[in-house]
Amino acid sequence: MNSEVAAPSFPVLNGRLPTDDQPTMATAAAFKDAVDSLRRYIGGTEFGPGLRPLLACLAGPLDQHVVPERPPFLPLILPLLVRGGIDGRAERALPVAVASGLLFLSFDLLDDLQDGDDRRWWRPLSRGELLLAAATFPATLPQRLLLGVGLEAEVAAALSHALSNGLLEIAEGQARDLAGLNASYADPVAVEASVAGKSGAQMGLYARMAALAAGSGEDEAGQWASWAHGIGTAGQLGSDLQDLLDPVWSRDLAAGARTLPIAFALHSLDGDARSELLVLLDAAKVERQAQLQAIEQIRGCGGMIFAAFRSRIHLVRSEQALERLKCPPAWRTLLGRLPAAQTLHDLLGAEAP
Amino acid sequence: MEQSQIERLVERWMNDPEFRNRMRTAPLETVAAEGYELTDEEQQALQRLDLNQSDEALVRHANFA
Repeated sequence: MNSEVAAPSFPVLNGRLPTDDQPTMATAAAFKDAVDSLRRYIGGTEFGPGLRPLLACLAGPLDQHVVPERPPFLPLILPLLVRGGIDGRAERALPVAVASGLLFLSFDLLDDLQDGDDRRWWRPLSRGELLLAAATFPATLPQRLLLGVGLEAEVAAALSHALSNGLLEIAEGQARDLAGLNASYADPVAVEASVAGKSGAQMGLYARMAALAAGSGEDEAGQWASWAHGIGTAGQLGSDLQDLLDPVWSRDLAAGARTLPIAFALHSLDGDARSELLVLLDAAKVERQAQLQAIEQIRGCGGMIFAAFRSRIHLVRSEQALERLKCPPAWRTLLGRLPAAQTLHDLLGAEAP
Repeated sequence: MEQSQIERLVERWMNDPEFRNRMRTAPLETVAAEGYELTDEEQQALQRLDLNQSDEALVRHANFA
């Protein structure tokens, strides 16, 4: 393994310098540069021949996430928006955005492996190689990247601290998630805490790192983290709901996951109705008909509306955090637009790359 | 509001058509009249739920991840 991996270089927007009254343009330009930088990094020319193909397996999901018709890719967009909200210089968050993108893609790989998925972009890598990538990348790449861009020692220490704590918090959420697989009972409060610990903490970490890199103190960085935490948690709850309404196949039911609507149903039902749902959930791992019947039961006892309500609670918390932050009005408008943006195009309009 | 109260509220929503109609017209007033005590953030969250929508539409608005 090549232990001397050079830090990547980051372009300075090719002369397209933003101003405070152009947050959308500045974010769009910085987003494009972040995607390009992340692609170059994943291209891995600095890495040895052993790691290069492993890094390449992160490119597949990246390509899926960064198209205008898809929701904004939060790991890249959050750091840019935070930095813009702090000093109007979204492009200066490029290293944090790339580090966040690497973290997200590495966690995504881990998540897929744990779900037993088989992605076409993994081929011809073996499971052993994929496990090596999932174990190594989140614990090394963001740190290496961020500590290689000449940050002041105090900022670097704060970032390193935030990363360690954030990774542990995310791992805690993931561990709870795994422990709940195929469970015959799931406490909705615990499931929501697991989502917050996993997805909320992940987005919170990206925002916190961007704020710390901009020189914010712990309190202000914590507020930015709260803003992103709420968005991440609400988004994951929404995504879990969307999975159940997929017209073809629920991946969560197939994996035996106990997402919030499912947990609510298991918690609310008792007696024969609960036993029937458990039988359906077991069959739903392999049968579409059983999935549809299970979804009807979950819907019928209010699991969907409950999860949608809880999702809104986290959005409200995010909005409250944003209200407490000092931020130029034009940037505040853009930041406030993020939760409602169904696509990158919704957020950045014609500027979306 | 305690979790158990939210669960009762959801159960009522699912099983009581008259309550559901009132909630669709005036959610905050209905909840208050029925003795549910919502926190400030719960009230705001409830206001953001368009209860006239289908589950699919609710999910579409909740899903941006």
